[in-house]
Amino acid sequence: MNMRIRRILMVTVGVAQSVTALSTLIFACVLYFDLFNVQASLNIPAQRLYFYVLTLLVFGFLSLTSGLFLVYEWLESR
Amino acid sequence: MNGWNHVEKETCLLKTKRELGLFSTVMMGLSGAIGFEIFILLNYAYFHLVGYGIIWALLLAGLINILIMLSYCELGAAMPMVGGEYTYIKTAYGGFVAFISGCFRWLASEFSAALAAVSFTQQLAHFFSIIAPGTEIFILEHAPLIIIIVVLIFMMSDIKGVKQLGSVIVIIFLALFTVLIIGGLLHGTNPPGILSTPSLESLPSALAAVVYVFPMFFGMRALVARAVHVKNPGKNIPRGILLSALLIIPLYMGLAYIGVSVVSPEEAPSTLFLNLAAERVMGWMGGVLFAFAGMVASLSALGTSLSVQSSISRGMSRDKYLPKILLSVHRRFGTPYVAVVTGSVFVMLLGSIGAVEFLGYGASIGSLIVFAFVNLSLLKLRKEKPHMERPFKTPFYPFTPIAGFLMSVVLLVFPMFLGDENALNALTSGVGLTALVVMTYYLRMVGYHRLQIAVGGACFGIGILLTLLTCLAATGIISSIFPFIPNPIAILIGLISMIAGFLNITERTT
Repeated sequence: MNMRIRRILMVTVGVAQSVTALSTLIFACVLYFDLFNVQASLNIPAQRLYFYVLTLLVFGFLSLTSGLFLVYEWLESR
Repeated sequence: MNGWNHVEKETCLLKTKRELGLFSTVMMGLSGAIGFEIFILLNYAYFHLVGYGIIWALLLAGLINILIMLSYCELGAAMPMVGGEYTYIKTAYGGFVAFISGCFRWLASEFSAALAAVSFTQQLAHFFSIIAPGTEIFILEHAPLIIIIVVLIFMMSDIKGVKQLGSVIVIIFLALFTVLIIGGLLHGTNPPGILSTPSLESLPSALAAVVYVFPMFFGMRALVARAVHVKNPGKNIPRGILLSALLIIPLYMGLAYIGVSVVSPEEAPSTLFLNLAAERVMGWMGGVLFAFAGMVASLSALGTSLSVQSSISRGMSRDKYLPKILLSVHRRFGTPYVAVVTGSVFVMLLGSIGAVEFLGYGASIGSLIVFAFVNLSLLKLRKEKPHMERPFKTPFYPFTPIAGFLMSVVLLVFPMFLGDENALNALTSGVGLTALVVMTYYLRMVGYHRLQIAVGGACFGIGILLTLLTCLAATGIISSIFPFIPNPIAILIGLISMIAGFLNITERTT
């Protein structure tokens, strides 16, 4: 793959993934603490709450690591 | 022959000027020790834990501090290098233990910085409660926001490289505390029951109070972090540490004596003990002065802790335990901006919690673990490097470092047996953080590129799974697993994950 295109992809996807990951993590916290009455507004049953929160947290942290890896690689390749 | 590498020594001492004499060294030790802690930590210890026994608790904490600082004297005089205790432990044990201790030292600095930020809001509220009653409610309600703003300001000033005013603040504090003690004595204080013999029943509470107030003492270890600037370090470092450690005990005990004389332990525990004492002895002016002093101390400590945490993370980054991006220096200001920003974000998060008691124990526990390692390092270096040049030798070896180690461990685990909820929470968090630290170390040892490929593979798989499940749910074959996420967004996230995973996997193979 052309290095220039790859570098552009790395920073674009890396930043997008990091932003998505942070949003996911914030959403997981909002969901868990039921801020803004979000559990009722989204019709989330209490028995599935922990499943959602856990899945969102795992996905969030994994995505954040992956996104930061790409941004870091981009910074190093500058 | 010295026990440590001469090349390393020369590298560390390179380009540094040894310009601090004994007076400056003592002032440096005192500026590390006298801080915001005295304004905030006495409250819980006095009102909730030990009452009048606070004076005995302070004496005991001071003596234990001297015991531990003797090990710092020997190691600081023998290795006057950048890094302080992290360097001693690394010389004695190398890799893993140094990494663990470095992490805990960093965490202790983070907890201290967060505590300083919380302390600032409390003092600010107290200040305004005197000059404009009613406004303190607004301040306390918006404390997390104020903490974030204050940390942001300090983060910017750290990046710009603004210098601290350590010695000036210490002299002002010493004057202020002396005025309070003399004023209190002239006031005709007669504290009830404080000189009675401590009973066996009150011992657990007293020990919990010792753990809790311990951060008021051990700040003087900041001296060894700047040992590289001290003239004649073989003599001045031990003298500086011991003089600071000795001076601080009567000062704190004097303040506590005046405090317990005028403030009853049955009074409202939400009040600031020392501020209230100052108000009772010196009138409203005393309250204003101490609230102002508390604010200055908190801000000074916040700045110092942020600098210390960035120094530790850079040291660990230098040793390749943490990503080298933490070593990045700002092009214009020449300051370690990445390390400062990273640490500041953690401080904002911890500070926003606002749980003073939890943060107090957290700072203490992190430091006690490091103290235990420092004492063990002294024992190991004496045994393995007997010919190492030691300008100062810890008296009563090996009993002193063994006692220092045991006291650190006892203070570490004791509040757990007492069942203090805040201590338990801090200790549980400590255990969790230890697990995280150990996991980080092993992930680091796995190697950066292997980890990147593993994370990339996981993301690639999750991306495919998410896209597939969303497509199946959209066509009605299965029910949606995350009904609250719209399908287009789920597909977009899946695609991003796939591309990111692919880029991570193929990064080193292209």
